[in-house]
Amino acid sequence: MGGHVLEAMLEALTPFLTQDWIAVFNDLPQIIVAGLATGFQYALIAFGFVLIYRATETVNFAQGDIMMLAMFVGLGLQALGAPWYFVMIGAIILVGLFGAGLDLLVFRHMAGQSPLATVIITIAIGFVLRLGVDAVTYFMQGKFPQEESLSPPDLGDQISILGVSIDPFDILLIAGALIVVIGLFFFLSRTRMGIAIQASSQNQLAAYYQGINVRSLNTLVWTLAAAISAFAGILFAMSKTFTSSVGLSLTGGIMAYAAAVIGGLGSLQGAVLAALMLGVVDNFVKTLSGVHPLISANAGLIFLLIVIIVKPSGLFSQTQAKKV
Amino acid sequence: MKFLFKQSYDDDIKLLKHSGYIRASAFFFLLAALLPIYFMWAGVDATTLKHVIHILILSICASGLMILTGFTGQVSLGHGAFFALGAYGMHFLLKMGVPWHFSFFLTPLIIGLFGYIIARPTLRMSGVTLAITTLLFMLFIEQAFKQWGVMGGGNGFKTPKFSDKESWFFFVFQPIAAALTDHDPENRRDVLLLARSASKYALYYGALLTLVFVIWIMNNLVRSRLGRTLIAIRDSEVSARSMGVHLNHYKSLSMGLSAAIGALAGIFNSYNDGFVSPESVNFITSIVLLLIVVVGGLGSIHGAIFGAITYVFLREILFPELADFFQAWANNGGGQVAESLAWFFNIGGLGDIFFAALVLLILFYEPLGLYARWKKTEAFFQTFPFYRAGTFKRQRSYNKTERLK
Repeated sequence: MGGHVLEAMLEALTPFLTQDWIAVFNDLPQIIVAGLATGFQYALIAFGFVLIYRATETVNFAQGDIMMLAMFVGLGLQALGAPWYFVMIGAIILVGLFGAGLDLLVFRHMAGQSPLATVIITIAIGFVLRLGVDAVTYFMQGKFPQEESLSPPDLGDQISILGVSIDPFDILLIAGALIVVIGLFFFLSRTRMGIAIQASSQNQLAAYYQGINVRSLNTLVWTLAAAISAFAGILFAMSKTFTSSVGLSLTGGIMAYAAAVIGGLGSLQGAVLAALMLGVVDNFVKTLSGVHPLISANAGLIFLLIVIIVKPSGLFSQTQAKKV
Repeated sequence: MKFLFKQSYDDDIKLLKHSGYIRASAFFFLLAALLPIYFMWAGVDATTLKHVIHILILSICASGLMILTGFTGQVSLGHGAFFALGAYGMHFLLKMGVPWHFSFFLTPLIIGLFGYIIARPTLRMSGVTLAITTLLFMLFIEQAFKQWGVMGGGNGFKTPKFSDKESWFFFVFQPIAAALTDHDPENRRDVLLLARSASKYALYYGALLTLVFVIWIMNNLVRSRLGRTLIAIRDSEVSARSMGVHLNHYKSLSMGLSAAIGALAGIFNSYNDGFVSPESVNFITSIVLLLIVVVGGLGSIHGAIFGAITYVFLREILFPELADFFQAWANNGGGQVAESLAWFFNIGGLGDIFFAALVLLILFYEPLGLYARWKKTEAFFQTFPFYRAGTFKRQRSYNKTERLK
């Protein structure tokens, strides 16, 4: 029995030793750029997840499903004949409003209840959204959604920068994500409202005493988080195919949650960096030849499991053990 | 209202506190034990029996999850993994030639240990890490099962019958079954049919006895040192730690316990479905299990069973029945309304949506689930004209961050 396991482990490791590393290093810039493009999608979802966690202490497992909702809203808008930028803006606005509605209808009333109940409510909402999208698609088209995709904008051919050929859509993606992430950093750390959000996250009651309207700030946070994940979702949908289970799938929501956790839950920079790292690692292992399919298809997953087990506090942790 | 006169200290910690408990337990156990006999007598079809067994299996698994989520306050998003690991582990051991009874006890033991081992490092920080890890773990397990050639890879494998003609159960059960049904001992086909249904009934009693065993374990857990420790962790980690509780060890222990019970349920489920495939590990199973626990009521032993009954009733009995009903109505000239209603109830997954929506409503209006409603009704009748609406009022608290800069 033990011999089998050892043999299997050796077999899994051999491809890493016999790899043509020089060829791999020549391709490295290419791999990194493609990895960053994936990583920024994870980063955007993780950003929304961490934003809600930081501001309201709610762990929102519906974030991936809100992203999925945005994809299907985009699909609907596209079916109506909207060009790609209208699809994007329309989905962001509609899903942002949906996020506000979620807070107004559900989470506002959960303030002060046990955190466990709130977490489970988010899981149930994700579940309802996912199955609801299935049912609505069935209602409209008579069949369940299959592998769908949004048509990407036509931005011309591959561009070559410093010998690295890049898809112009990836440039749009990275630039858009960077603008959103930097803009939100600025918003949270420099503006009055951002600092109020931070204050209410540290101590709700004290923030109330200081005259901060915690309730409407929370609604704002939910709107922002939903809009960000809608942005991520539309970018995702334009570059890959998706199904209604993308919110909790290995290529979608789960990676983002995991990135948020290994980034040290509650740290925005950490979440973004971890998501980028995840994208690059995932892409890197995929390009190696001869790796066992179980490893190459789940490289990101294995990386996450290793990081969580070795360093569960996250790579860029903010949380220490609670003291009295 | 019943007045209890306590005559010894044992009265405080007895498992069955007074005659009412004994009568109620005996009543429900007898009801459950006689149900298959009634089914056979009334000629109820095999699908209904399958649904009832499914309720028992989900109750077992939800009880396991209740230890983790209800008592210890940790969320596992990947409990379906242990469910599937139980099925795979059992049948792998059987394939290796391990005797049935031995592997039936060995599988939950190994998987419980496994649950402890994966929870131990991840629980050092917050509970969210555990939720995410279990989720990742479940996805990895699913991929790994797809690559596991010995166990059929992506297609999975068929399971043998739960009990064969040589088993002791068959000798006990066959005379009863033969007396109750139109059974001709000379007819070979009848004998075969009887053998097949006997295997189903054996599965029913196996699952029922396991459920009773699990409930007994849970009841003892709650009034033991371990159970009190777990509940203390749920209520306040800081105070539990101050009292000298090793948080990490006890949380992992509850994870291991619930993994073992989940594996036990998985073994029965593999026999009930008749096949096992990697698709059975999907996260819908895991989330449904979590929702079952919540619907029933976190932190109560009744809750797991209430939740499982609600789920199976909604998902597998009510909605298909409604679809059939409206279909029949449409066929008898019910017109447009009946047709569209029939079409509506035929949408796959509608039961799941309604179940999840029910969870939302319950969490909103009754965060402690159906069990709280049960308790309130009980209190209403006990204190009949004097029941106050505010008796079970919940205390709210404001958030304070756990992140210290």
